[in-house]
Amino acid sequence: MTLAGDREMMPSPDELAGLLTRVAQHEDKQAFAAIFRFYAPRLKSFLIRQGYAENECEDLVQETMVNIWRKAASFDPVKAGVSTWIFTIARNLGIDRRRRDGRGGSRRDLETFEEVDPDPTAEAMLITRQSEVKVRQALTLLPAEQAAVIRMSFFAENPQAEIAKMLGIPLGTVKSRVRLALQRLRQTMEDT
Amino acid sequence: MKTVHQTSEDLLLRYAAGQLRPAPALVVASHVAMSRSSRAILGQFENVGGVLIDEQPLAELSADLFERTLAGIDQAAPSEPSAQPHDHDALAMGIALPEPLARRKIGPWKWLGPGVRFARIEMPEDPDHNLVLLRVPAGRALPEHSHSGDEITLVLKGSFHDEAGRYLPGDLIGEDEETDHTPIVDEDGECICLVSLEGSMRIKSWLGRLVQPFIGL
Repeated sequence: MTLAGDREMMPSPDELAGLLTRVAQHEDKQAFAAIFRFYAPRLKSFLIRQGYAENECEDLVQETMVNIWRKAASFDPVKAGVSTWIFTIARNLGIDRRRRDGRGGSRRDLETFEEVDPDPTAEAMLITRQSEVKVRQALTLLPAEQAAVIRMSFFAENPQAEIAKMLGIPLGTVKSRVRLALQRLRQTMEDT
Repeated sequence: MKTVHQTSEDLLLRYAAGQLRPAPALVVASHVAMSRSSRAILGQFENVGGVLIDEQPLAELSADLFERTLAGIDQAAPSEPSAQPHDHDALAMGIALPEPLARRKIGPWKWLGPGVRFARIEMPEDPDHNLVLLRVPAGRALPEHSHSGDEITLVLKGSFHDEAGRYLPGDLIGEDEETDHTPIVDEDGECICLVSLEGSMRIKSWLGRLVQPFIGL
C-alpha cells in the first residue's frame, strides 16, 4: 500500500480526534492509515532523540500504532489531545521495553507503567482540555533557554547534569533555572 | 495540605517524560496517586510530550512498516498481565498503600536501629536503586545518612519536619547528593515513608556503620 498524501500538513486536533473515532467505531483502516501517516514518522524521530536504537524505534512505532488501533475506544478527547494520548502510549511501551531489556533478567510478571488516575477529576479535565494548544503557545512564549531546558528533559535521562556540563555552570544554577522554567510554563498556560 | 515541594516538580517532569528509572518512577507514581494537584501538573507535562511529537521532523520509515503494523492489528491482543495488589496486612501499617506500591511485593520489616525498621520493595528490574519502606517512631530522628546519588522520599503515614519545613502524607521530597539535613518525626505518631535511594546508603552514626554490613542496605 502506498501512503500518498501531503505529509507536511498538520491536521487539526478535531480532525485527528475524528480519525480516532472512526477507528474506534468502524475499525476504519483508511482513518488508521491517515493517523499512521501523520504520527509514525514523527514518533520515530522522537524515539531516536530519546536514545532508542534504530530497530527499536521502528518496533516501538509499530507497537504504539497497534495499541492505538486496539485502544482507540478508550480515547477521550476531554481528557487529552490525540498527540498527548499517543505520547503516553509510546512512553509506556518504551518503559516496558527498557525494563525487559534491563539487567532485571527474567521478569515473571511484566507490569505496565504504573498508570494512575483512570478517572480524572474535574480539575484535571479543566486543565487538559485544549491544553496541547496552550502548551504549544506557552513554549513559544518562554525565553529560549527555558524552553530548551524543558525540551531537554524529554531527551536525556539526567538532563540537569547534562545541561550543567554543557554550559559549564553549577548544578544548583541549572536546578533553579528548571524550576523557573516550569513555573513560567504553568503560569503562561494558565494565563492564556 | 499536600505539597509538591518546588524541588520535586522537576521529578514530575522527568516522570512524565518517561526518563526516571523504575524505582524513583514508582515513588513518583505513588505520590501522583495520592495528590490531585500533581495529577493535574503531570497532565500538563504530558501535554508537552504531545507537543514535542507534533514538532518532530519526519523520519524515514522502512517501506514495510505499515504492512507490518496492519499484520499486528490482525493478531489477537495479548492478555494483559494481571496486576492484583499483593496482600500487605502482615506489615501492619494501618494505612491503604497507593496503588502502584500496593501492586509490589514487599519483604518483612527488618531492624535498622532502635525502634527504626525498614522493609524492602521487590524491584528486580532496577538493581541500581534501593527501594524501601522506612518506619520511624514518633519524635525520633530519621537515620542520619549520606548517599551517593539521588534520594526521593514519599510520606505515607505520619509526618516529619526538618530545617526546611514539615512533610505530610502524600508529600514528595527530592534530595540530591548535595543535601544534608536532619529530619525528625513529629510527636503525634509514627512515620512511614517510601524511599528510593540511588547507589548505596551510608549511615553516618557509629551504630549504623557497625550494623550496615549485616542489614545489606
